[in-house]
Parts: sequence; C-alpha cells; structure tokens
Amino acid sequence: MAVCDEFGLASFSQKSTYMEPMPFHALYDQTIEEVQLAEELGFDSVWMGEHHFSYEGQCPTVWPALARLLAATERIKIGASVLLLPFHTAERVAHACAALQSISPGRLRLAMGTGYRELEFGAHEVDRTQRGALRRARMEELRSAPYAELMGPTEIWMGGEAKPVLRHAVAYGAPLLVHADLPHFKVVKQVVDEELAAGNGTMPKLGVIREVWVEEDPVRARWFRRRYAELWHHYAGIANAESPFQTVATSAKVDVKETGTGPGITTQDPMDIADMAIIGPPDEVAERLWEFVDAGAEALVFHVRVGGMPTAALQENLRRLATEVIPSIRGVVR
Amino acid sequence: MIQFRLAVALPGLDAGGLLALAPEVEALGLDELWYGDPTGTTSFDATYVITALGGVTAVTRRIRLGAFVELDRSSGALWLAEDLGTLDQASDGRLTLGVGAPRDDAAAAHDLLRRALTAWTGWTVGGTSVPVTPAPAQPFLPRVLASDWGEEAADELGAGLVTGPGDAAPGGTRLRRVLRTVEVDGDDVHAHLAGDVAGGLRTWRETAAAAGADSVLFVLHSADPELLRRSLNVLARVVMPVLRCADFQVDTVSESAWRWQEELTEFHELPPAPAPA
Repeated sequence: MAVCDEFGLASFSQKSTYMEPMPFHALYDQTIEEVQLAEELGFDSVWMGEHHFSYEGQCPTVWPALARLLAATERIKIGASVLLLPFHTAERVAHACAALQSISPGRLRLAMGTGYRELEFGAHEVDRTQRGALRRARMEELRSAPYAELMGPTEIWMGGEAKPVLRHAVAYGAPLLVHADLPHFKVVKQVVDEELAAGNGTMPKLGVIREVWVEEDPVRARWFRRRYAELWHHYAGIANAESPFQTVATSAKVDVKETGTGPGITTQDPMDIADMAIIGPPDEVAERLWEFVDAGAEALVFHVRVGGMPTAALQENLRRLATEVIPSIRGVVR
Repeated sequence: MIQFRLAVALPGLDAGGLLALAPEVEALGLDELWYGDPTGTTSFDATYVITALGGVTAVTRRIRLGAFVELDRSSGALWLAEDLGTLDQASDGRLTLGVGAPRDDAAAAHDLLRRALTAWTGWTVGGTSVPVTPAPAQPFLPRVLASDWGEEAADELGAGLVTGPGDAAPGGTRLRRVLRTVEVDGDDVHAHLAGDVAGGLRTWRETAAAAGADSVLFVLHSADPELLRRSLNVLARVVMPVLRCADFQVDTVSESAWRWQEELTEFHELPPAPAPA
C-alpha cells in the first residue's frame, strides 16, 4: 500500500503563447513568484522541462533557470523534468550541478530523460537511434570519477514512460516520474513489477505528473478544460509541422512501448486529452488523485500552468490544492 | 576625456560565494560584475559560469553581468547560443559575453563563436534553418574577446577587446569597446592605494586611456569574502569617483574620497533622534 508524501509542480517552463503574450524576461520573474508561492504553501518540489526551438520562450537550457529558482527560494526542491540527457555531455551536467549545489546544497533533482523530437536530435547532431544507449552511458559517467564528486548530493530521477526508461529506473534504483493518466500509470506500475519479479533491480519511488485544477463552478471548469485542449491542439499543430524532421511516428497517448517514442500529441482529439485532466471540487480531485496513490504513486506532481493561465487563477488553484486537497492525502494510509 | 566604467571580476569565488556578494556589488553602484576569469589564471567550465550567473540574475536587478567563457573542443555553439539567450532574457538584457583566448584551434574557436552568435537568426537542421530560442533581450548582445583574438577577429564578430598590462593599445576605432584589466597585488585595493592614492588612481586612469578603454575591469582573485568586501568598498568609494571625474579633479576627488574612507568622523553617521521629552 503506497503512501504519498510528496507534492510538486511540473512544467514551470516559461511559455508566452498567443493566449497570454508577455515579455520573455517577465516570464522568468513570474516563475520565481510562483515558485516562491509554492514554497510558502508547502509544496515539496518544482520541476522545469527542457525543449529547444520554442517560439514561446520555453527555456532550452535548464541550468541558469534552475540556478535562479534555487537562488530565490530556501527549502523547496528544484528539478529538471526531464533533462534531455543525450543532448548534454556528462562534463556539462556535472559542472552545472557543481554550480547549483554551490548555490544551494541538497535541493537539486534531475529526472533523466531521453527526448523524442527528431528536430532536437538533428540540431544536436545526435543519432536518435542511440538515445537510450547515450542516456545509460551518461548516467554511468555521472556516477563515476571525476564527475560524481561534482554532482554532489544531486538526486537522480528518471523521467519517461517508455519501457527502456522504466527498466533503467528499476536497474538504477532511481525514483521514476511519469506523465500519465491512470490507465497508463497502471501499465507503468505493471512493467515495474515485472522487472522486480525478474530480479532486475529495486523498487523505484513512483511519481506521476497530472493536470489538476480545483474548481466547483462548471463554467470555470470548462474554461480550464478548453484552455488545456487549446494548448494541446496548438502543440499538436507544431508537432505536425515538424513532421519533415520526424522519422518515427508519434503515438497519441502516453504509451508504454518497447521502442519508447515518447508522448506524442499529433493524432488525439484535444478534448479527449483534456478529459484526462483532473478538474473538479476538492473532494473529487482528491479522490481521483487517491486512485493514483492506490495504484502505487508516492509522489504527485501537478501540471497547473497549461498555457495562458492568468496568474491570479493559477495562484488560487495552488492555494486550494495546498489547503483543500493535499492535506487529505499527504502521509495518509487508507 | 573619458569617463570610465568600473567593472569587477571575482574568479576566486565559487557560485555560492558569488551569489552572496553580488547584491553587495550592485548596492555599491559598480557598473559591471563579471564571472569567469578574464586573465586566464583560473580555468572555468563555461556551463559553471553561465549557471552561477543564472543565480545572480535572481538577486540583482540593475548591475550589468559579464560571463567570461573559454572555448575548447568540447564547447558547443548551440549550447552557447541557448545559454546566452536565456541568461540575457533572465537578466532583462544585462549580459555581456567575454571570450577567453582560443586554447586549441583558433580557427575552430572563431567558427564556433560565429555560429553561436548568429544562431538566433537560424540554425541549420537537415537543410532547414530554425531560429534558436530565446534570442537575447538586447538587440545586439555585447561581446568582448581576449586580446589574443586580435582586432580583426573582434571587428568581424562585432566585439570589443579585453586588454591587459602586456598588450599593445588596439587601433580601436572599429572596436565596440575595450576593457582594460587591472590586477592588484594580494587583491587588497586598500593596501595598494595607501601609499599614494592620487598617484595610484592617476596611473589606472592613464593606462586605461592609453589602451583606448571605456572600462576598467578589476580582477580580484581572492576567495576571502571579507578581503573582497574591503576591496569592493574602496573601489566604490574611492576608485569609482576618480574614474568618473575630469583630469583636473583627480587630486581633489582622490583626497576627499580617501579621507572619508579612512577617517571616521562624528558626521559619518546620522546621530540618533533625541528621545521625546
């Protein structure tokens, strides 16, 4: 029986889309304000993603951005989810971690991921077919001399839903952070259990990222759902526009595949995707989150800034999550 | 007559030490804070420098930031472009790039730097040009090169030069800017000036002017925060006023500023308000 003792926020990655345009530098200030609020409200962690060639300002290099967040907070864990490890050398990761640990020791996490966009692999001149091998090789380098010392107490997680990533997490004994709805989270847990039954490692801590919005009013709940669908539709369009670069088809939902193509977004109806978000009054949200905990989740990470979220609404959502939802789950055994 | 900007580099500190001192440097009114080592005495990993300055952007609001990086075979043009764009956006347009002397292959370093500095207008992927994001907040990211690069390379890259004591004065008319580095024995600016304040300051002004410099960059290698604080105070309270004044004012400003620095008088601090009757 799992007990969930950790609550975080995901995808604080600075996006200025057509829905809420703003200067890029203001995005960085806005992020600090939100992370400071998250810390004040008792959230345990905040995670930033990595993607490249984003017109809307998404941060492609997590190192200076993580440093800003560490410098502006005191307690909350700050992490990258995911760090696209094939695009970094072990030397670069290790030196960045040394700087980050120097700024605030013991608060840094990296969820190691693999990447899936052909455009990004092409730009970094990395052979996409070697990405899994590169991820494993980099992680081995990072826990060996001379890099292990530079890494210090950096917490290494794994991020992703593909089978090789899950196997790697079990073999490595690293906590695992997946972005999945309940059915797919159960599949993830099943794969992990199979690996454990085969004696291939140790049980990783399981964390799940979910879109969550606390709202009783059906009109405002619909607003959130439509915003989320709009965002998904938009990024599906961008993914489709990248198709000349994409030699491997992406799948619609988070999928657990042998090859691990990553969470594709090109073929699913955006409203179906929006239905995967957890939206409702506090007790309903808590109950749906409990389903993840019952399925084995020990960390719940909320994706709340889903594109063009007005700051006041986002802050209200964070407050309600912290005061009306999390207390009924944190550390509770049922 | 040149009014010099005053910049300071603190390569002796680790990232945490830099973060701790950065707000004080800003509060003292210095013009620029640099990290990395413009003198090449200490070797820095470029990612370490960029990451440390990322933290500094969160604890400062005004002071310009300089990232002095060294390029070698393991450097990546795409990394550099993304790092610089992000750091300039995060600092709201306060970044200047400094580049150390090429270590391995000057032509390769030149090519890498050129690719990085043009990446925001297009990075070729599979025959298609894709802009690297985010572009810097500044329309033109200021950049300076170690003097080993030479004026021709600086001119081509739209850069200025960092010159030191052994360098000939650059021709300069096409250069964007020139930083003249100054290293102080023991990093103790106070002790250095104590014997002949006006003479020492005049020397710094004259050597900077002879180099065609717009800025004087003090490189303090110490890792001792207290020694650095003492030197930073002297830079702000004595050196900076003299770097900004006219030639004929040097003696007067030097004397006043040094005396104020040295002699604690009864009118340095506002007396407490009298207790109500």
